[in-house]
Amino acid sequence: MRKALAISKYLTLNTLSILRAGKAKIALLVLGALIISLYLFVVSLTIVNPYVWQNARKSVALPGINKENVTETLAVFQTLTFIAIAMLPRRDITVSEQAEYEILLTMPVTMQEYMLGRSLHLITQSVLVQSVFLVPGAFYAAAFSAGNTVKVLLFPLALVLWITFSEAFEGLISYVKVATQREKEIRLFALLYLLTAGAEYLFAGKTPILLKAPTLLAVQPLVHCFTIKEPASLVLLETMLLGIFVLTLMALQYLVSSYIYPEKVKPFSARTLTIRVGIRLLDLGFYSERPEVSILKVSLLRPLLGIQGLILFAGLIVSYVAGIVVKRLFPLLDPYSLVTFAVIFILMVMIIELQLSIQEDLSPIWLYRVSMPNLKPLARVAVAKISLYTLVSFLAGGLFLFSVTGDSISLFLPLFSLPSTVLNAVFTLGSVALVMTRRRIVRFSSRGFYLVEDMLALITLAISMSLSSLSVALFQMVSSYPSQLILLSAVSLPISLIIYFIGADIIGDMLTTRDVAS
Amino acid sequence: MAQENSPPATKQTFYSLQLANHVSTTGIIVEGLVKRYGGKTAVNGVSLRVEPGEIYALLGPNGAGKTTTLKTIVGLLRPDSGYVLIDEVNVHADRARALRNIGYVPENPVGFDYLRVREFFEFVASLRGIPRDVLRERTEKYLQLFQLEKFEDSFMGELSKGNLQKVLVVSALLHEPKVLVLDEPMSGMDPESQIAFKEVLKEHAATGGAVLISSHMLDTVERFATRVGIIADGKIIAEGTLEELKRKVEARGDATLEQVFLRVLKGV
Repeated sequence: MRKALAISKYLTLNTLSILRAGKAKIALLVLGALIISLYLFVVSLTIVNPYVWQNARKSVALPGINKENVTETLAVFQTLTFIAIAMLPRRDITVSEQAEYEILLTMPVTMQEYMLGRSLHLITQSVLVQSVFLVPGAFYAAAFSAGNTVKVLLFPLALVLWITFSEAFEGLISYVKVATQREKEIRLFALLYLLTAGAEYLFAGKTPILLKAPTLLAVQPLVHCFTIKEPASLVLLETMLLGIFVLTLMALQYLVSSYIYPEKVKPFSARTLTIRVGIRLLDLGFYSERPEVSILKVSLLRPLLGIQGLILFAGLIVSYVAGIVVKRLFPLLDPYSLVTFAVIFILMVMIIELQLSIQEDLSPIWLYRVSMPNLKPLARVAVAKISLYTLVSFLAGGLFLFSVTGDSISLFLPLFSLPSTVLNAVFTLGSVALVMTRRRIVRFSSRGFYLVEDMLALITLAISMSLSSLSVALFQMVSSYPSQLILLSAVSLPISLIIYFIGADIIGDMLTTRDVAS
Repeated sequence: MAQENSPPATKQTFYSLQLANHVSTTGIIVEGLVKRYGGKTAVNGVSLRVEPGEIYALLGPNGAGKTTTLKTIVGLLRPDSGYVLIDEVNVHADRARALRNIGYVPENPVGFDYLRVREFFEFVASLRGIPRDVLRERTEKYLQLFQLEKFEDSFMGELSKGNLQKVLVVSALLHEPKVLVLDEPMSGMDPESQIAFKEVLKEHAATGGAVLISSHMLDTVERFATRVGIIADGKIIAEGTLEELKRKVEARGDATLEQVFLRVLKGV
């Protein structure tokens, strides 16, 4: 256990990355203290004036949303996530740092200690990320429970346990797949489970128990922190039960880990390399008399015509099918909120691919610099590539919206969002190029990224997400006026082209000349 | 998985075997190692021994199976058949115990980018059970030896390839292991650190430690390796001291390791 805790501690420190530099560490501590003060404040307020929350409850209540459908939605979503994890291909344990395999696993630690340490690290990471919910949660728990202080104080515990449950369950599924090497059978089981749940839905006409039951125990204590009817003692009991369940899951993970060999631990870079090299559907041949065509083939068409392209295409189909499922199961949910969430979620997933992609495209900048008079063709292809990847999230969002609403106007979302997509691509590539063109030559990173690039990636992600949310919000506003929407969509293409050519050429000039001896 | 070459059944049997052969129970013993990736055989029946006090250099062209052999020895890869004993412990039966006695430097110098060098050493010490005062003393000694003092508070991700490699070398030495397994440890090192590193290896061997090193720097290896193994297509094709190898390939008395290496490989 001591070694597992050490592994968890140092992996977490490593993940906190730029937040550990300078005053950010103090800022984190202050933030923690503020959250504790917030809870103390909410509890004190409740003791001083218990009626304040009863009034607040009326103002925050949302029509059509009650504890039953929230519990149901959360439970079903979580079960579906687990089924998806069981169905996705997985033969290895993927780790973000190559050093976890090359260094950590050559230390005298058992696989059980390593895997436990790793799980604790992943849980800590998730808890840290999702701790933002603690802030609104304090107010909402107080308001919805009409000032029940025990429930307010139980909420952080219920949230942490719920996050731990999700991580532990997901981890267990993956570990079982890797340890047993019976991927096909597990996928088949998951598919049969899903089909049975579908049959149950068709037969009973309501949300299938098969999709609710496995995760109800984890969801209930969390939801009941926001209700009046359930007594605090019940929520406490439910939370304790969840705690026991989580411990059981962790124990199971520990047991299964002993059947996993270090060879099954693969760095993320090796996994993405497999995907990126992957299967080529078409052999393009990279020679061309025109450099821009050759760059286009190497940088853009090569990945797109391989397994990456297939993944993007599959993502679009999944979005469409997800829309149909949502429409049937949760007709009350607002489709535009879901689309905003979906677009941002896909973007967040995509950003990893984009980071690797930009890195891959700009790494051989020395080669381009010594063999081409100007680097505008490289910049144009790179901007087109980033735009295309980002556009996929809008395409998926548009298809999702179309399958939920049935309104064909939804399909204009990608075209409508094109200017912001291209602008975002120009900004992303431009900022990365600014750093990469002046980077010290001898620096070495196992992940290919460095502290500055990581910080930059966070900033560009934040900007990309804001621009995307803005695009969806604007689209929603204009979608009530189809003629204007079509007009704006038509105008968006030439605007995008102008941004594209001007932006890419500025970056091309920068790539050609910045920090180069004249 | 079928084990064509099984390790000794019990420790007792192994002890008796070793005593009967008058061989020390420490060091590295590799027997009939086979490792396949899909249909490709990367290591095909490698057997070698590195006795205490020896510096064994494993040489071979790119893709010969050097790294796969070393990774299997430190338990990162599971052999399809054969076994590895480190100081009497079967690596693939009791990996964590065997690794207590090994210091390993990987071919690719990789680190935890956002751990400071000092924190990385603390991490390694926590896992290896090195007491804090011992850690402080050894860290000081090795950081000074490899001129890394000024990088103690740097993030590993900020280091150059050579400095990162030196940090990994220090981490492999911190617990003063009986066995060192080093995969191309000097490829990015500056000459001064290379000299210091070679001295460390010699001292390690002189005090009864065993060193297995893979390298392409033949002229460097020639000066400090006590025995050499040449691997090609996953098989050890020649093994012995430099003098023994020279005799085997009928090379001149003043022939260099480089010339012997080429002669063994290509008959040049």
